[in-house]
Amino acid sequence: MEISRLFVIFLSAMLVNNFVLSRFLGICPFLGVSRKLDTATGMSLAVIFVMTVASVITWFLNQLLLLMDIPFMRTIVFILVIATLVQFIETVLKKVSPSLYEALGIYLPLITTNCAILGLAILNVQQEYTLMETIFHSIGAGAGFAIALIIFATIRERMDVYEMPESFKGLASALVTAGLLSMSFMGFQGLVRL
Amino acid sequence: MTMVYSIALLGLLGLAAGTFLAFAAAKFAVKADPREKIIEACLPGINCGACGFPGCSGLAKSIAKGDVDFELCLPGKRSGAPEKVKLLLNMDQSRIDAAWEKGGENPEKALEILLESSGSPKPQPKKPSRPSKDEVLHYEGELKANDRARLIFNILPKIDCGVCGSPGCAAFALEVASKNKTADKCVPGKRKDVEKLASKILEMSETDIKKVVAESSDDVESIREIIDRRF
Repeated sequence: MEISRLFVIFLSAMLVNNFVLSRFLGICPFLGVSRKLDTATGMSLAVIFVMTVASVITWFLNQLLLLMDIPFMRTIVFILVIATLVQFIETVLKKVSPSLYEALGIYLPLITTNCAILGLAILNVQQEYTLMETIFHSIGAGAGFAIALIIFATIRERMDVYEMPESFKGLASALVTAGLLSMSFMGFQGLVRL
Repeated sequence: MTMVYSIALLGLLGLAAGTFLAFAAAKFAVKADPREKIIEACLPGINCGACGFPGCSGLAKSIAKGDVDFELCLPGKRSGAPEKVKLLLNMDQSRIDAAWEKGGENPEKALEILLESSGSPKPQPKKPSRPSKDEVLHYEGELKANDRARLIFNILPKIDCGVCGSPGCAAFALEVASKNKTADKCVPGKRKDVEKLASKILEMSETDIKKVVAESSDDVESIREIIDRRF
């Protein structure tokens, strides 16, 4: 029972309530870093890492906040944790993979203000998930973000090759594609019921 | 109590995060190329964007890598930046590293040390030169015999600003036509697509050139129209 519940949470975060395509969180990197497949993959990995670690830390911090009876501090504390993690990733990435660091550019520090991550942390609290559920929910949400971003990036790479009316080039056609992609993800709606 | 808890929690968290990041930064420190930093110190540092990079640091990086021409910095021409950068690019890495150490990792000091030790007199800023009336007339005379160069001349801004390094637009057009210079050196022309038009003109055959000259009057718009229509 327990394991099946975890699996349902994971699947629903990844497909049914996909953070980008159903909840419309994290649209900024979704449009910004989806020009090339390899940067999209790098961004996805960074987001999955930040989401998972941030959720675990914020879960513990939330217990602390409840203990101290100061739940109104939630947002600012969560943002502090997320910002620290993003800064950490930036430092590491600069050392380990300078090319990816260059390619991600401004979108890397912008993970800090990626609403998908703060949204996830707050959703975890609102749903009153246990630690295990939080972890599965975060990985699912991260994987959902990755799926959306990577599918979108491959489509955009292909769209660049084809001839298109001048007025549809670039962002215009990307937005139309995002809409279609979001509609197709609506098909997952009946997959699981929580 | 609420206030004490809030302040204490946020303070402690901030301290922990700061310490963690400081350690991470020390552990994963990246050794930047001092040449880059010193080149950046040569540039005016006003982040004007005329070079096409968002800021001076971007340009300095690309110059250090050898990706772009060091004359790309326009405001720097007045302060002699290209000459200093040229000196730096020709220096050995060991010499630059030594100056970097000696200057206490301060790019400005390192630059001073390098310029002094290079022995050559301080590079004098070279101002873009405006051509004299006689020069302009001389080159415009040469244009009459050269259809291709005249066509190129007609798409230039014709303001004789001298930023390209040639004395006037006519001289520049002659140099582009003989492929001694590339059309992208014309900075005021960048807004008017001069580069693209010029490359089309350079690819045209002699007979095509004659046709375009015959059909167009001497203004840019008619030339552009004919070229766009036919090529």
